Amino acid sequence: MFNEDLRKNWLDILKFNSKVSIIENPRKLDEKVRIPLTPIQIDAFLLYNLFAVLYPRFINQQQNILDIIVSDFDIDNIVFGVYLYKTNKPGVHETVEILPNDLVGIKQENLSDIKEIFNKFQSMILKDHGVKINSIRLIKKRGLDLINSHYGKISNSTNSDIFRSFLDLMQISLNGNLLAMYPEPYILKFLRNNITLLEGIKLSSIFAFIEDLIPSFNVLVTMASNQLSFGVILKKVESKTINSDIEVKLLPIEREDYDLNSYRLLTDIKKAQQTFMVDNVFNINLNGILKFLSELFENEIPLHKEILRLLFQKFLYGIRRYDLHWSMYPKPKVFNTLIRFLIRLIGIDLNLKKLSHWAIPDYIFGLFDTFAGLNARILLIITSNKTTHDITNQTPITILLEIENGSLTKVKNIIEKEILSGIDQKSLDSIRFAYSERFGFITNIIILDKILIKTILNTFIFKFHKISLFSILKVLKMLKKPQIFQIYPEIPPYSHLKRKNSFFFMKDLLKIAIDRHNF
Amino acid sequence: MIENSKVNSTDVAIIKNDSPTKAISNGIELLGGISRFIGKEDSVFIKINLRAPSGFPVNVSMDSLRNLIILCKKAGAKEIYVGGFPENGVKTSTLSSILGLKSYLENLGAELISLDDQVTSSFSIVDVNGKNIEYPTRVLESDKLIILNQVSVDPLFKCTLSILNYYSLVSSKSQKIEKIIRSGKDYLLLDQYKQDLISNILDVFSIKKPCLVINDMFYFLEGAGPFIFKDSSIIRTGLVVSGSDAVAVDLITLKLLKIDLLSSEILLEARNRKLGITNVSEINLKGESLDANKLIVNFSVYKLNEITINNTYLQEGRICSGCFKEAYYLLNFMKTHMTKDLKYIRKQSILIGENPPEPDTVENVIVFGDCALKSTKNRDFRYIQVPKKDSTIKTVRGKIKKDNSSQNKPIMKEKVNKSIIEIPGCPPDMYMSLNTLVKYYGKTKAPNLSFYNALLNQFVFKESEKSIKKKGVNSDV
Repeated sequence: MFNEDLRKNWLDILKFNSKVSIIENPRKLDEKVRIPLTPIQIDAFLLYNLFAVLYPRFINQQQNILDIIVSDFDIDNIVFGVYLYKTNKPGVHETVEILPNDLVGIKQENLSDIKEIFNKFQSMILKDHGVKINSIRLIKKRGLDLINSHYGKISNSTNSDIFRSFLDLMQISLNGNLLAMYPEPYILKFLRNNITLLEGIKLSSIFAFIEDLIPSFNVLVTMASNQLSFGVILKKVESKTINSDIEVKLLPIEREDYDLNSYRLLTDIKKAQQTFMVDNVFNINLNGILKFLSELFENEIPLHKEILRLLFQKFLYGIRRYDLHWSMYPKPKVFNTLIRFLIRLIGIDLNLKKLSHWAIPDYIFGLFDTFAGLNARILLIITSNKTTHDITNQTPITILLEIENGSLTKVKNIIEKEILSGIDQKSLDSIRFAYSERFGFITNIIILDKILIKTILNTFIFKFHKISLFSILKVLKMLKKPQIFQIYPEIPPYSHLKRKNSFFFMKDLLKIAIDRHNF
Repeated sequence: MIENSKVNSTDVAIIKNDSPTKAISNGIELLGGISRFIGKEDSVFIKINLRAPSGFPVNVSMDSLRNLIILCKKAGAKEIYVGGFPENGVKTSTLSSILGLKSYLENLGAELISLDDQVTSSFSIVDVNGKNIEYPTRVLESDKLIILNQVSVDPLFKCTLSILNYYSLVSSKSQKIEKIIRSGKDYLLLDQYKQDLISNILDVFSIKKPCLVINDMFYFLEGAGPFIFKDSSIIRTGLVVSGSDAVAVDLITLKLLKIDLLSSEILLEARNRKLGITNVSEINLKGESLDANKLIVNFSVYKLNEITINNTYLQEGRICSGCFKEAYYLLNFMKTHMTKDLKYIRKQSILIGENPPEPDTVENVIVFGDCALKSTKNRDFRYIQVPKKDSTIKTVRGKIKKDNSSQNKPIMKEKVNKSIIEIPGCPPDMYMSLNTLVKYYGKTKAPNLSFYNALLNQFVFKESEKSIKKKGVNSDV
């Protein structure tokens, strides 16, 4: 029933986990396993710690888990397999016990009441084995087949292909209810509801799109907290001859080698950069990230605009807490006091440590609600032609965003080309009308070129350490070029940007984005 | 009143549907079909909400409008005009270019009429109750008039009724209520402003009766409205009310919102003037049940001090509906768009109405409206006590003589308080108020407002630049 590689790797993980509690220093075991469903080799003890920290936080805090494999067809008893994991530590799977399939008989019609299934199994296993299970994972046979098929690709595919396959597996499983859990964790509900917002958009296509946009990089992301410290090396290698690929390595950050300050950040990130031979190191406080994600997953989808505002505020707060919640090497130029002082002389205050996290979301949401409306349909056309927006000469990506009461309720990929047949495709009027006839009134069309997205990603993420007035000005100037960015009809903030000198526009923006009082 | 409908005016349809366009079509179907309202070769004027350069639901739902235009075309309408005066003097052409309306309507086979364009639009003077009203000739000459009204909360009339929508067939200038104090009558106590406003609205309404009125409340803006503010929120009711008698349609709309006729001054006055049906028992209800579809919504606040704004202290005197409405907009604007500015300003007081209490602080006092200006002319906050500076020679001499008496007892001098922002007008104009505030606070203290004002400048102030004194501080309206 299980792919042999999958089974062997999983049993290796269980074997290692069961040794941890009886060995004095499990770190020294130096065993390698693969992260389930991925080709990523990882230190077994790090995986143990990841499970111990992340599983209780995001999936279930209680001990003892039961996996049930069920048929997709309606037969007398649809149970194909029952696997009991007794866990001493929540989330850390140590042993597996195969229970008889007829322990509790299930029919297709029972699947709608997973709580009832849980209760029956819980009482039966408590009676027969004296173990109280606290959660069940119900996997349909088709889901298992998909996992097996995914595993088959691991040995002969690139990391990017495998990641795309994993995203497809996740999307199909969640859309088709091939995986269910009781009690249902917030993360599962969050992912499922998010996926239902996407209409005709595959997660793997989003990944492929982003992968195509991002430049070559070689970064180390270190995350540390009291319970867990690890690093992720992410490397994208681009080549003209072969397809690009992303390498991912997870490694433990040993406390003996790196000191952590009181904010749980590495004190010497330069050393980490040299040791791991990477271009940049992002050093992040893991507790902050986990807390943010926990709060994010607890929300209903679509996110209510007030929740979105709050999450945005928290995100900006995280950014402004440089040296407290995160840091990076090489240190971004804008955090250099002398450079900031010199910029200040020309009336520009670019102090990201004083980002107005408390005011920016209110202002942006206020402007958006006012000018786009509380209900809106926005057509996003992403082109890749550097010279013209003539849509006939290229295959743009066309996405329809539907907003209701200020919340994003649908993201739809439009593939029907016939919508534009017989109309003047250079006229945004005609394009808007054609799409409005098909999907309802299109409030605005936004056309942007991939080069703009690339520049934004470079400026604000991959070359963040080099961010300066000039790089921000470059983005603003690109926004003014109709061959790179257009909004139709033009909303007042965009008309204002086009009319005003970029430097003075940026100055005004920074007054809104940065706190006035530096001390 | 000019009649233009074949349909029994007692019919009102309440439709509930999952689709806003189907709700409108089904409503018209239930009333006998579009051909009962529109004849072949008719020229039709559709009056819509076209308030401001803003998204839905400030303006009408374009999907509903599209549906209505298609129905009119199917009925054989020769010409379909769409229009209305935007609020606060914004030009239709400006609004059209921001919303991309003109070309969209042309593609649908309708024409957007700029009633404010003196070159293309003419007006006829219509005498109603001794008042000369400038009424658009195009509307007067159209065979049929339809009102497509987006229902939202309204600070003065609880919700935006079709009769209120109709009022913007006349220009903002004509809509302005002149303050006329009748002898022996207290203007504020009787809320003469509102009475005059209602009278004007009904005068305009009585000129030409619409053949079809649609109150689109499929999406209803509750909280702070009818513009979009921080406290605004949309609820999906799925309801549309339609009929040929605007008063009856508005009455049923209010009933759905659990508002009684007696609570609606405008419908009471319409009843007095016999402008439509105001008795529910006389209305032939079709479609959904009225009682089963009543809604619970959050209406806008009735008291200004219920709008809580950071660092802002409101002192309210006796106030008329005009000032209430404009202050409601201003306060909601501050709450929505001035989060950062209010933190920097630290403290501001707003005095509204006649004889407002003294402000909490003498700094940043906004005196809003003519009543507040006149009644606070000689108030204490207009003057501040500052220690009189001795001449340097005197101070040095005092120090040499070790004479501390001058330091112990500083001589106080009374000065005119310059931290006062005077916003005249009866009532003051919202956009002009914002302009005055920007001039006073400046970019450093009010970066958000300053940026927003620059956006407004693109479509509001460019046409009517008014002189505004810096510091000192008042604006001429």
